[in-house]
Amino acid sequence: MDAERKPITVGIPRAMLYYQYGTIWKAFFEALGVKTVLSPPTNREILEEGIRLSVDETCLSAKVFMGHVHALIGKCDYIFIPRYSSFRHDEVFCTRFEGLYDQTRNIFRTSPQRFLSCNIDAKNHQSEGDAFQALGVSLGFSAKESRQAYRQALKKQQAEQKAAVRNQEAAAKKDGLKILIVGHPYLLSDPYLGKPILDFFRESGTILLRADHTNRDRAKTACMEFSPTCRWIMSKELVGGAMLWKDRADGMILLSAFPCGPDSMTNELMTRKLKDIPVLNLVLDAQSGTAGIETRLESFLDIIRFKKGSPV
Amino acid sequence: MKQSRKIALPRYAEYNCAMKYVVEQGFESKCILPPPLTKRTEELGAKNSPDFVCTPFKTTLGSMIEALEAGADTILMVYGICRLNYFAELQEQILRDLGYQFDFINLSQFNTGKKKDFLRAVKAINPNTNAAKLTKAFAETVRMVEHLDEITGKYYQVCGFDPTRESRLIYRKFLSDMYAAQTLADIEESYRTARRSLAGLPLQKPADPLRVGILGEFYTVMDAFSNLEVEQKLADMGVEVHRWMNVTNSMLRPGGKNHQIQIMERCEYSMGANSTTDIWQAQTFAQMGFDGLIHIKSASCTPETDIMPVLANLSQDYKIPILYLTYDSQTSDVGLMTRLEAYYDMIEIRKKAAV
Amino acid sequence: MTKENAFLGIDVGSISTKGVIINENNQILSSEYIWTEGSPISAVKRLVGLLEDQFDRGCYQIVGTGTTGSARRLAGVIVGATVVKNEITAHAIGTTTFYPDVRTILEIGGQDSKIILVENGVAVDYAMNTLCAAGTGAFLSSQARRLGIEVDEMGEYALRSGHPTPIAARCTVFAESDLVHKIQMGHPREDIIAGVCRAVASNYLNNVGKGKKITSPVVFQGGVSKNIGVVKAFEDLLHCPILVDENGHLMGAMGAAILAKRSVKRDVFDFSVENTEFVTREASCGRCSNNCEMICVYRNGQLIDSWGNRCERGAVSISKSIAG
Repeated sequence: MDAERKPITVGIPRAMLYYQYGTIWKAFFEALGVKTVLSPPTNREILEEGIRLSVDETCLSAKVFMGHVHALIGKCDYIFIPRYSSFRHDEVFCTRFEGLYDQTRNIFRTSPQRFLSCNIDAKNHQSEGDAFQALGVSLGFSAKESRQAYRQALKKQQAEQKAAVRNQEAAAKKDGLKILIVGHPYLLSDPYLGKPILDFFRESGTILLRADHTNRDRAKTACMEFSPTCRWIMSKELVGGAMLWKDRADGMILLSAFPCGPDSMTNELMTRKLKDIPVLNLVLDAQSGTAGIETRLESFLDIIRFKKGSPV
Repeated sequence: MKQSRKIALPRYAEYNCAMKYVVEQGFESKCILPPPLTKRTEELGAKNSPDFVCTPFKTTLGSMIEALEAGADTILMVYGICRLNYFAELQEQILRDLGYQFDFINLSQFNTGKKKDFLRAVKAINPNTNAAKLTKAFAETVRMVEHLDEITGKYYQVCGFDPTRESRLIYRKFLSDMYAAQTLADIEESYRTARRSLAGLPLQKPADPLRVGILGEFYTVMDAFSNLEVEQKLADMGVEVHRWMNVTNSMLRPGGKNHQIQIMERCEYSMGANSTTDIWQAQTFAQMGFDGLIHIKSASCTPETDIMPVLANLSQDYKIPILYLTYDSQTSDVGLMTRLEAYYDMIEIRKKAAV
Repeated sequence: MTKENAFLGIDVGSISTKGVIINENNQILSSEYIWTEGSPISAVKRLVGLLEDQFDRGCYQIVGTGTTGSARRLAGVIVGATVVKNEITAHAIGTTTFYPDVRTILEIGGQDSKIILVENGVAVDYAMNTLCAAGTGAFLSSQARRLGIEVDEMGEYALRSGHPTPIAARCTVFAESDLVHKIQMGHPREDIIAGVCRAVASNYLNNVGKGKKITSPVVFQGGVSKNIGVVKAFEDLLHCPILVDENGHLMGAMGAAILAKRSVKRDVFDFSVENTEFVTREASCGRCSNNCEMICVYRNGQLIDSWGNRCERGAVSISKSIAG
């Protein structure tokens, strides 16, 4: 890197799409020699700050996101909030991701903090690659450097996804009670929101399969068959992933954050159409924490064990 | 043979007259009008819908059930740029689970906007469609929608200042004419009559009445039943009510890019669905010196929830109070009235204090 | 001797009914606060009787009457009000009269909560709870019942707590299950009660108060303002003193009386309602599937008003029944 180029630090909120595309982001900045800093893992304080800052009616995940942004204020030159709109005409994002950057800027209007974005909107002729190239250029790197950094980052992301699928394949081959959990990565992988649920299963000795640990292309095809007009890319991956894994699981959990727009509909469709597998719907609400959830998980496991004739 | 289809679309504001016109004149099929929306429609919809889906999903589902009860054998459902894109597929599943027998034409399958998709949609509705007739009917339907929007807008601006209440009769007559229209001549004649009659009304209007701009989520802001007639209620208090959002402005003459440029400082990108035009409307009303703004949305509407921080900043910058109304199937008339009355009092006292 | 003018204000809420009589200088001549007990008509009649006992009919004459609160219309019909106003406006008017410098009015009542922002004595912005009754007086009462204490005692319990237990209060259902959970987990009662008070305050700020710039002086009123635990929670969350007027619960009625004073309409009120019989009947319109529930009010057997219909179909049937 040029010696005279002032080193900058980019803050990344550890929430929402970080759990889906964070590897690309970090690898992209790293390849360009830009320092990144992550907000701390979600905790009560971050959640409460997020609730305070957000519109009351927004989803739990978006509230958590605002808490993470708050935690990064003043700790970096820019806070990075890419705008994800579409990958193709039939692969779009929930409008919340289209508006997240501008919503955040408006919520933190009185703060001197600067924000950084890039616009992934293939429907309007800006692919992910184009967006990251433009982002690199806006930070003073050449188009070529930026494009190369993106390619490298993408590869890393794909390798990581592949490894997750491979690990799950291995787990699925083992004997034991298997539960398929369908939920957005930003819920499942969040240490404050989803982790207690994952821990519960781990401790109960069940094998946990995640719908999002799937080959993304195969998932999209599978979703197309099950629900042809579903166009949210993240729902496609989840619904498709669920279709691909469900036959190897004994029960399925649909985990959602209140009041997730896409989940409110796709989870209903799955509940209605899938008759051959026991389904448990779980909705996480701000502040409700895990109160009562444990009881529901336990009884769900009991029912499945009972059905299988294994000891309760 | 599918020629004797009895097609129905769920109720949506007063636009069903236009849908009826294009189905009958363009596709030469029979159109079944579902009964006007009532509490029953809402309850039927809410009972059979997932809990935290938005209210328009529930209301349109209820209207589909009532259309099937009224004898429709085919349901036609449109698509949009938010959850609306997915309404049709889930609604069809729910109706099938309820045991109804019907054909379902889900236009969301044909949403690329390409000509090929359009032709496939036409074929799905009626394979024997006459292209010339359809083209003519489309053009005429556009006229009808433009007239409907113009007369509706005029009506809400005058009805609060019309002591004889004649405007109500004029508007009602115009609507029933639109539902009965069979030719372009029918449409044009009723339009001219309504426009002339509304313009000729003797009004009792203060020189500087309170002006309120209404904006918000596509379905609820336009559908008088769903928003508990918020426009009529305000007009009855003597407020000049302005609403930019209608099908003509948002779909027939879209100004998306231009709107985005005008609000660039508040919002760099589209925040999804109608967010850009919404913010632009709020800004325009504020710049025009309106006394207040009312933001309307159904419970859990994602894009409209997300623009609230933008609107809050705009409200501060222009010192214009915004009343936020969230509707779900439990929202009551009495609760709305209390909020509207208080809002009216506040902007009236503010206006007097400013003078 | 000519009598001085006086003005009556009545505020009928879902839980309590309040009334004041003031003179031209806004001085309180009589005031009363009773429970509505689900019957606004008998509450208003009782209230009027109690106000009359404190009132000097020799010196004053009531020439204007204002009603407010959720049963304002019914109360207005019963007392023959010269002004019927919604409670938000009435509270703003009442409070700004006594606190001309106030910038923020927080109000939590039985079913509703609201915030009013004031600049130079004029309300410039307000918001009201949108979806559910979580965090209102009704919520506090039900939680007190669950914990086996009187709602009036909650404040004192809360003040004894050092570590308020976090309680979910986004909606009543969630809150209840969380509360049960916390009780079972063995949290001390003081901490849970303090937690409930804190939940009410923070839920209020996250919902009604969202995006509103809360500037001092802040006045807190409504039934819940009597709960010192909630007052304390607001002070902690807002980092500023919270003013609670001992007559805070009367502000709506005060506002109604002041509005009656400001209005040009005059009508002598002679307390005669106590001996008049008022009956309301529910009628179902039945002219369309809205099946609007209409309320018809009868005075001594005669229909004097009705409301509740969503369209004009119902209005026709009423005018017929008046004619018949």
